[in-house]
Parts: sequence; structure tokens; C-alpha cells
Amino acid sequence: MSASLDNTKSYLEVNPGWRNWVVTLDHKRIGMMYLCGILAALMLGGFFALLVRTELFSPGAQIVHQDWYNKFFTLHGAVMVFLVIIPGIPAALGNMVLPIQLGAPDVAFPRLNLASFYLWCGGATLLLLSVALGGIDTGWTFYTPYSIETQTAVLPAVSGAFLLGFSSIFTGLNFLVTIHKFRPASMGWFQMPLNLWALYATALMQVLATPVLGITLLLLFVERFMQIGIFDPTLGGDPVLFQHFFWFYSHPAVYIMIVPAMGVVSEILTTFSRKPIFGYRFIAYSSIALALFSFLVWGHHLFVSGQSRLANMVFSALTFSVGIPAAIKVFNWTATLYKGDIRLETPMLYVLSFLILFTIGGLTGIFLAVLSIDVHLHDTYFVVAHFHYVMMGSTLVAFLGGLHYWWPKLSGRMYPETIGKVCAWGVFIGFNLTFLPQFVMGSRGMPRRYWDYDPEYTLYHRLSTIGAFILGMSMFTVVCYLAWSLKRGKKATQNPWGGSTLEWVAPTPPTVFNFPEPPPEVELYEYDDLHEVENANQDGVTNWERRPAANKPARSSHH
Amino acid sequence: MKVCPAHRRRVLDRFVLLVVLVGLTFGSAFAPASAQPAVPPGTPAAAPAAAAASPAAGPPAAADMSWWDKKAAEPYIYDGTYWLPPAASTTAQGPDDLFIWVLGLSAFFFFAITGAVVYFVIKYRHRPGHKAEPSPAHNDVLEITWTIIPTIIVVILFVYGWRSYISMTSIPETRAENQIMVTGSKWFWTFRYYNGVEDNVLHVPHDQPVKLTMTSTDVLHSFFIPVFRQKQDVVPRRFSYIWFWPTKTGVYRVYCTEYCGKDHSLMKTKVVVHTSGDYERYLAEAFTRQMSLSGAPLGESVYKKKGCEGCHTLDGSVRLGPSFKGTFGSKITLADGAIVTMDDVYIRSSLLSPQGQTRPGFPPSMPVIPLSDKEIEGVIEFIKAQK
Amino acid sequence: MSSTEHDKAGDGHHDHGDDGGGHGGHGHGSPWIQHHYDDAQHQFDSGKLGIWFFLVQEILFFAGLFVAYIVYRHHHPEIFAYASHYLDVKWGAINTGVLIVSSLSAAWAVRCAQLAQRRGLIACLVITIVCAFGFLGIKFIEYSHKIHEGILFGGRFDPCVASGGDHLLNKANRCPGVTSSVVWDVKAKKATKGCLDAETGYDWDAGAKGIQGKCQVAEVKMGGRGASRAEVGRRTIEACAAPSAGDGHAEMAGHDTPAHNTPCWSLVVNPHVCPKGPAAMVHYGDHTKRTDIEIEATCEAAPAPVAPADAFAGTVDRPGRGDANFKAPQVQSKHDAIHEWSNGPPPEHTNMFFSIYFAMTGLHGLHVLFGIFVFIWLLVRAIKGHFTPDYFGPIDYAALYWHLVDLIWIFLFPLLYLIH
Repeated sequence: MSASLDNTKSYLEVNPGWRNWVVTLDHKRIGMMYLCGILAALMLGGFFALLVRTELFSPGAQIVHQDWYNKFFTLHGAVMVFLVIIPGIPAALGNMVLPIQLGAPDVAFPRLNLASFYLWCGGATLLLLSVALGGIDTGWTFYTPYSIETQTAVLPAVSGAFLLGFSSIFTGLNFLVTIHKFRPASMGWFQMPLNLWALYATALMQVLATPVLGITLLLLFVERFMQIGIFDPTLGGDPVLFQHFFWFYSHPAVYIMIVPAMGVVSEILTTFSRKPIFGYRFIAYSSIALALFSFLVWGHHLFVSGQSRLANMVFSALTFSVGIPAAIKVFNWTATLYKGDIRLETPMLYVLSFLILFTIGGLTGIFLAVLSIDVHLHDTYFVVAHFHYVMMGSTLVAFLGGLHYWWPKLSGRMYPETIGKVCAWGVFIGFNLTFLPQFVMGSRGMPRRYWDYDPEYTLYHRLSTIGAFILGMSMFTVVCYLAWSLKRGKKATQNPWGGSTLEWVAPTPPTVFNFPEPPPEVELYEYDDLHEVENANQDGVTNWERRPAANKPARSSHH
Repeated sequence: MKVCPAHRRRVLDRFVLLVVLVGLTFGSAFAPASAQPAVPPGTPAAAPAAAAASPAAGPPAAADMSWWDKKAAEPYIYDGTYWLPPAASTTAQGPDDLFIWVLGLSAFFFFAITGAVVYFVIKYRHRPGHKAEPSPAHNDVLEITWTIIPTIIVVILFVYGWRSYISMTSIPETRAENQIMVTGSKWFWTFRYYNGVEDNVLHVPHDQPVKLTMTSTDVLHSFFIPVFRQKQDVVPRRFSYIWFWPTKTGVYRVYCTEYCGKDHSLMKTKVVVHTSGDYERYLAEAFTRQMSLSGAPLGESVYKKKGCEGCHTLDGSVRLGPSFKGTFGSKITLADGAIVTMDDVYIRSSLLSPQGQTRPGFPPSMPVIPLSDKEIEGVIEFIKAQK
Repeated sequence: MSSTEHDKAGDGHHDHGDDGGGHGGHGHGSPWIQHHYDDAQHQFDSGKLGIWFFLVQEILFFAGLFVAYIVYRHHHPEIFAYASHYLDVKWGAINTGVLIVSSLSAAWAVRCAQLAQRRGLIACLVITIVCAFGFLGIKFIEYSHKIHEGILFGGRFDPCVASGGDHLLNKANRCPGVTSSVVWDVKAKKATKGCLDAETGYDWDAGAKGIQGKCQVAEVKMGGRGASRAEVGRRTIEACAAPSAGDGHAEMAGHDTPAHNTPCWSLVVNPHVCPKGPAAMVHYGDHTKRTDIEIEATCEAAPAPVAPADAFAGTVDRPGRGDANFKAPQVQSKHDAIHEWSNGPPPEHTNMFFSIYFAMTGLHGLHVLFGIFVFIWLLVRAIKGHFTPDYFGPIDYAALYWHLVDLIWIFLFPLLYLIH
């Protein structure tokens, strides 16, 4: 059967029908299925977020009482973290793009890839089951001993998160081996696109950190199931040990979210600036540095949980060290813009938003790394705003940027550009309106996870709620027009943005094994021999074509 | 390098100016923000708002209220600078100064980076005829510079943060009267003073070090007093400590900041900073009052202080547990099918061994609350009185 | 987890039926080489790197439990010293040997596959599988013994015997061969009757041995069920063994196993059941569980000792002046001290040791079980003759996995069984 697969046809056309999709081993199809699942989960998580914000419009009960409010913010967190942001860039975008950027026909272990998608589905189903069983009210962090004694549906949620953890591990393992073993001979480590560096660093963290979450959740599961007592103080267990275990995973998890976003940003930034990335090696190294540092800073989540002062000192110092590779990246990105030819298409708008939002997210992180300030700000809205700037303002915005950037390549259709730009502005403005006021109320002392609040914070909460609705509507529109464009969008060309990496050499959409013939060598981030051809296809979409260089034949194939 | 305090203040003032700038920029989206909190703290205008917003601020029946309860019912003081609540302890200065410094620094980097981004985007935007100009793809001097400068900055910040943290966590000698036991339970705080006085409001003396020894009876809580800039998690079966040295009298907010379940957001109370003499007077008079209580009034105080209110109402409405209204003497069915009379014996055994007396329709969540015989009698009398 | 390990360990395995996306073997020579690899070596190397990353992941998965072990042992060394006596070093050592043999045969299997020795490969795989079953069998013996004695984790730790072998007071009164005076309220999770301190208020010293009070202990036979349960007969029971205590005096420890059907009683403690004092427990010579017996015990404090007129009257072997045979009072060695209290009641939260023991060995056992599935699958494929010197990756990966499982046990054995 496989011999009959036609590698000159697009992966969307060969073997159509859902029966073939659900058992596919094609990384692009698996990526597409991930993408659909993740966007659906994003809508769900966003829905919970809007419920939370609506409730907080004024002090006291607005739409629900505290038990339901607690479930809303828990589900918002759990869905967004475990189902959306962690798999968002690696499993959806990474899956689709990574092998093509390597010039490879697939990932190293296609069946493991499909298995990890079904683990994701299993985890998502269990999380939804916990919603169906009345929800869960522990907070997404599942802190013991509350998670041991609450009467809500903790077991399905915990086992769901456990499965999602292994889904993430297997994706990471797959990527590591693929990057090691499937680079073409001509592509050394420092000829890899920065996206691959970022995915490599991410995969390292996924493989090294997630198992600890696995064992932690397993112990919590057994704890609730048969009182094993490791985290239960009444049986002699240590509830704070849970926090150490949890954050040993969940701090790297933050970097599992943000590092691939940095890879996406690097790709888009250089393409739309039409010049090579500035300080390639520093950006590459800083990805690895972030991956390594991420394992050493979990203790800053426990600054006020009774950790020794020595431990606090060490973790505070290490936490600061994370700021340096992050700062290096921001400076290099900014320098990349210098003397470029900047095209403000939608992906670039998202990336510029990312730059600003990530700067705010990173700088506010410094407040929290300073021990004495953290004592005041810990568990207030300041922290909430800070990590939303990093996890949402940075990661999700970069995800949206990457989605728009690679959408034409993978779906074969252009999204509507004007409304795309409007939504990008909507996301930027809505996001800032939502979370800037939270910094102010946080530093004034508003604690997080509060259903009711004191009247002096009302104004900030109201602004935040209004912002959240602008944000939600913008993102909902994005999902709608992307779905619309699948059938109605203009047909995309092979290289609509003028990207220089290998995926823009592959046909649009790529063939079953990505390249109908072995891909040519391309010089990384070299834009001089690309030139713009407007109205290149019947729908009037631009294409960038490679000028035949003197020493090698043109290999780009059109159809 | 030694910097005299006055100089430091001036430098700080400049930063405050910067902060205002940042605040205005950050806050342009919410300009009315500066108008709202402009009501000066403690003015009569603010008082009713605060009191109305917080039902726990004090019952209206002021006739038999003690002077310290009246004092605790005064409006909260919460208005500080644009960014921070008022500072009312000696250790607040360190983190506050650092906050302003970091804010200034952040503002600088934020405007530098955003400025550069916006400038580049405008200057190098694509337009007909414009092309990317050749420029170097790396510059090691630049890279090393922007690696080293942030490194130096964060080292300095770390050292200052560490130093002020040490002073915030080094507990000085405190006299016995100022050592207070704090117990966090779902969802109320209990403060026990050295002479046995128990209260749900924290009373502390002005201008003396106060040490709190804290533990929890159930899940994690976290004790947070914004105006003292102090926060510490409260862990079951462990003790944790914080201390502060109040510098301003008044009534301030206390929050629980570690999520602890359903009523987490209602688990707040207040700290009353008394002048030194008033504090001793409070201890003595509260002690007398506590000792003199018996019967139903004692039961009522137990009902309020031990968090019974959270589950058992007096108005007939049902929460986690049955209401006390009009139940005394009635026949009730237990979970195992037995029918008993709700009398002195039943209440007593329910208090001593709650799990043995569960009723259908209510979760078996009543904890054992250690009470003296006198207190148990008081509770019985109190329930009797709920006709 | 299992399905994906399967997937990886058998990366070369090919199931054409479900291949919707369109990857199939074509043009690589061996039917087990997937098309997206350049050649057999590429596939083997990728799989090998994959299994190494997987093993790193496994180590971190176990690392959580090892950290928990370190933390709790650091905080409660006494629990670990006490509780490890419950474990049988003999079984642990045998299991270590069994796993080492299986690891050797797994390694040998790889060699056989490389050299195309099909029968040797099959033999090695069979040995590995047999050893793995042997390991699980021995674990089953150990586990069932612990379940039987109530030596379990967390809230279910309620042993019938002390680590030294003495009978202990048990919450639910369900240990075969012994019955205590305690009535345990399951709902309230506490003793409502039978703890001697609460009822008699008599003073008792856990450290001291010898006569501490005078007790009357009776065995009450009950008839009927539920509410109609009523007394049908009773007999008074003598105190155990030690001749001086035969008159019904309460005494701590030091009893012999009573003869069949002639029960005797002694005082025993378990702070989990009676937090402040002892309860009376009747020992029977057989190991039968008795459901129709209740024990009633009443004790009163022993008369306060009267100081003898001669301050030295009570001391024996008082050395005379210049006595050459004078011996310094023997100082108890640390080892003796540990030995002595390890026969007593369990320290508070002994359950934590078993929480960790069961978590670690249980998770390890799951890995062994999973390994058995993998090896059986490999055996089937080996019998079918799938493996060639060109294609033996799955054997190699499974052997690597098996070595890790072995290695983890090599750490677990001393950490759990060989404390002191």
C-alpha cells in the first residue's frame, strides 16, 4: 500500500477521509489534528477565563458563588496550561514544521508521534470528564493537602494531567532524536534554523522535567485513591514536598512554553525584516542556557512557604540568572530590525507585540526575583499579571504569529490579511487592558484566586474584565477566520512571505513526504537571492522566487 | 560606598517622578484610576464605604461593644502611593525602596527597547523602493556589553534584595506580651495572646516588635499583611514565624493568600495597631471579659471565634451543616438511621466526636474543635437560645 | 505509557494495516526498515538514541521517589531503622540475584541476535522472562505477607506484629491469634473502649518493665449478630508466662508464646490505637481469627513502691571496698539500643516508610511487569525469525531498558532492606 503513495501529491489530498486521518502517521496531519484540538481547548479555556472575569466585574457575587468561581479559575488554568500552551507550539506548530525545516520526510518515530497525540486526546478527555463530574477546585497547581481532601473531581483531572505529561515527553523525545539523526549532511548545528534550536531546548526540558510531574501526580493519585500518605500531613507526609516536586516540573514547564515561542519569533522576525537574524549564536546558546537554568529556579515559587533562608538566597540568585539569556534574546531581536525592510504583515504584528509584551513580562519578573519584594508580591495579582504576560502575552501571541506565518504553507490557503491585522491589534490592546491594571492592584495587595475583593480594587478589576472581552473576541475571530479560510481563502503560493528556510522550498501544501525530490541546500537566513513576484497565482497572492544562483540549479518546484 | 539617607531620598524622589511617568503611561488606559483612590484615607467619606463593603467590620449593635471592637470597626487605611499600600512597619522601607528602583530600571529598559522597536519599525518599514541595507549579522562587543550590563544590574539587585530580606526575616527579641499564636483554619484566623485571650482580630502594639507563631489546623494558608509587607505560608503540623514592628497606628487589612478552598476569599481579617498602653489595656480587659463570660454569651463568642458561623447559620438557612435556629429539642435522624433528640447530650457528643453523629444530607466534614467543659455548656446554652 | 514504549522498543516493527498516512517499507532491503530512514544503521541509531532518552526520562521518573526517600529518611531516621526490620533481607537478596541473572541473559540475547544465533536468542529471552516472573513471584510472597500482617502504607498501616516479632495491639482487632480489649470505632477513627489509661487513669511508664499494676482480664464469648449480640459465657485469663506475674499483675513485654488453647494476656502498646497507654491483649497459641470473642480488662495501679530502710538493700552484687571484681555498669551500645526499641511499638508515622516502600517497589514491579510483556513480544518475533544481524534493534533497546530496571532494583535493595 505504501508503495502506492504518491509523493507528488499534497498531504491533504492523498488518502482523504477521516478514517485515514485518525490513523495517519504523517507528522503534518498529526500536527493539524493537534492544532484543531488545541484551538478547541483554547476556546474552552478562554470561556472559563471570561466567566472568571465576569464574576470579578464587581465585588461580591455577580454570576456565581465562590465554589463555582473556584472551579472556573482551576479549569481555566488547567485547560490553558496542560492542554493549550504546553503542547501549543511544540506539538502543533513544531510537529508540522520541524521535519520540513530539516528537509526530512517525517519525524524519527511516526507511531510514537501518533501515540502522543492520542495521549493528549486521552488527557483532554479526562480533564473534560472532571468538568462533567462537577469540576475541580484545587487550582491548577493541585497543592496538597487541599487536593487530598476536597470533594471535587480531582482523580480524573490528575490522571488527565499525567497522560498529558507523557504526551509531552514523547513529543520531546521524538524531536530530540529527529534533530540529532535527521539533519541533512549539509546542515550543521549552527546552520539550523533558530526555531529548531528552540524546539531542541524545549524537547530537552520536556524529557527531563515532565517525568517528575508524572511521579508527583501519580503519588497524588494514589494518595486520593488509597491514602499512601506521602503528601498528607495527618499521616506524617510533607505537603511542602509536593510543592517542590510540582515546581521542579512546572517551572521548566514555563520555559517549555516560552522557549519555542522564542524560536517562532526568531523565524518570523528575520523573514519580515528581510535580513539575517542578529547574533544567531547568542540566540541559539541562550535557548540552551534557558533550558538549563530552568531546572535550577523552582524554589522561587516557595519563597514564602517556609523554605530556609539559605535556600531562598540561592534560588533568588539563580532566578536572576535566567534574566540574562532572556535579555540577550530581546536585544538581538531588536537589533535584527535595524536596517531591515520591515513588512508589517499579521505574523510580524504578533511578533512585535511579543517583543513588547515579553519585555514587560521579563522585567516584572525581576520584581519577583528580588527576595524582599517577592514577600510582598507573592500570590498577589502582580504575579498573575506577570505570568500572563509571559505565558499568554508572549507564548500565545507567538503561537498566533507562527500560526499565521505557517498557515498558508500547511493549509494551502491564505487567511484574510486585513481582518488578521485588526485582530492582532485587538489581541495586543485587549491583552494590555486586561493585565496592566492587574500589576497595579497586585502591588497594592490584591491576593490572587479571590472570588470577592475589597472595594478599593473595583476599578482595576473592571478595566481588566473589559480588556478580557476585547481579547476574547479578537481570538475568537482569529479561530473563525482561519476555519473559514480553509475552504474560502485565497490559494497560497509556495513562498508567500519570502522565508529562507527549507519549509519554503517545499511545495504548498507539502507532499506526503514533504519534498518530492531531495531538497536543495539553502543558506540560512539569506534573503538576497529571493525576489518578490506579485500576483503569482490566479488568486493574486505574492510569491518569492529564488534567483538561479550561478553555481546551483533552481530547485524550487511549482504546481 | 556610603550614601547618606538624605541623598538617597533625593535619588528616590527622582525615581518616584519616573514612576509617576511610568504610571501615567502604563495607566493611560485607565486614566480614571488616579481619580478614584484620591479620596484621602481615613476621611469620613471613605469610612462608610469601607464599613459598608465589609460586613465583618462590626455589628451595628454598638451598645455592648467593647472599646477595642469599636476601634477595630474603624475604617481601614489602605491608600498609599500609586503602586504600593501605605507602609506601616520598619521593614517596609527596604522592599519599598527596591520596588521603586526596580520600577525605574524596568521603565528605562522598557522605554529603551520599545522605543528602539518603534523607531526601527517606522524608519525601516517597507515602502516602495526601500530595501534592507547590508548590516553586520553579529557584533561580539555589542553582545558582550549587553550580557555584562544586565549581569551587573541583577547582581546588585540580588544583593540588595537579599539584605532587606534578611532584615525582614531576622526576628528580634520580643517580650512575651508581643508573642502571638496564629492559627489558620478554614476559613478564619484565630489569634491567641500570651495570657490566653483569643480573638479573630489581630491586636498589636505600636512601635514594638511583634512575633507571630503560626500553624494551620487543616490545609495550607498564607498570612499576609500588605501594610507590613510581610507574608508567610501557614502549614499544618508545622510552625512558621513572621515578625513586624508597626510604625503607624490604625486598622489594616489581613489576607489569606494561599488558596485554601471555598471561602478562601472571605478568609480575611484586620490588624489593629494600638498605642502601647492601649495594647496592654486590651490584653487585660479582654482577658477579664473572656473569663467572665459564661452561658449563652460565652457560647456566642465561641460560635463566632471558632468559625462555627461558616457552616451553621442562625437564620434557618442551610450551609455545610444544619442551622441552629429552632432545632433544640427536636427529633433528628442520624446517618445510621437512629432517631435521637437534639438535646444537651447530643450537642456535647457531637462536639467531642462529630464523626459519630453525622446526619444524612450533610457531609461528614465537622472537625473536632477542642473546647473546655465550660465552653461546651456555653454552646449548648447558645443553641438553646436560638428559638 | 505502555503502548508508547511498545512503539519505541519495537520501532522496526511494521504494521501495514493501519498505515493511513503512508509510511511503508520500500526499497531498503530488510522488511523491517521503515521508509523514512536512510538505511538499517540510521534506523538502529535513531532507535538507540530514542531509548537512551527514554531511559533518562525513566530515571527522572524514579528520581521523585528517591528524593522523597532522602527527605523522609533525613527527617525521620528512626522510622527507617525501625521499619526496615519488617522486610526480609533473604527475599530481597534472592530477588537481586534473580534480576542480575535476567539482565545477563538479556545482554546475551543481544549478542545472539547480532551473531544470528536464533536458538540461543530464544533461550536467552526465555531465561529473562522466567527470571522476571520469578522476581514478581517473590515480590508477591513479600507483599501478601505484608498485607496479611497489616504492614501497609499510609492510613492502612496497622501491623499485627512489631518489627522484632512481638504481637502488637491492632486497631480493628483482626489479627489472627490475638484479641485485644480495644473497641475501635471505625467512623470516628479512634478507640472508644479498652485503652487502659483513659478508663482507669492509672499511671504507666512505657520505658519501664516489670509489674506496673494489677489487672483482671476476662475473655467474653458473644453470641448473635448486630443488636442481638449478647454475652454467652466468660472466663478469666492468666497473665502470660513470666512466673512472678502469674498472679494477674500487669507487666510489659517478655512473654512466651502460649500453649495451644490456653490463652494468656499481656499489656501491649500501639500509639496509633491507644495514644496514651497500653491495652490488654490476649494471645492464643494458634493463628486463628476469632470473631466471637471480646476482651474485658480492668486494671488498677500497683502500690507505690516503699523506699527500703537500707538504701543499698535492693542492690545486688554491691562491690565491696577494694573489690577486684568491680565491673563498671555496662553501657548499652547504640546497636543494642536500636535492637531493644526496635522490638517495641512502632514510632509515630512508621507508615511513611511503607508508603515509600510500596511506592518504590510497586512502581518498579510495574516496570518489571511491563518488561515481561516486551520480552514475550520479542520472543514471539524471535521464534518467527524476524531478527537478523541487520535488524536486532528491538532486542537491544529492550535489554537496555531491562538493565535500567535491574539497576534501579540494585539501588532499592540496600536503601530499603539493608538499613543497619
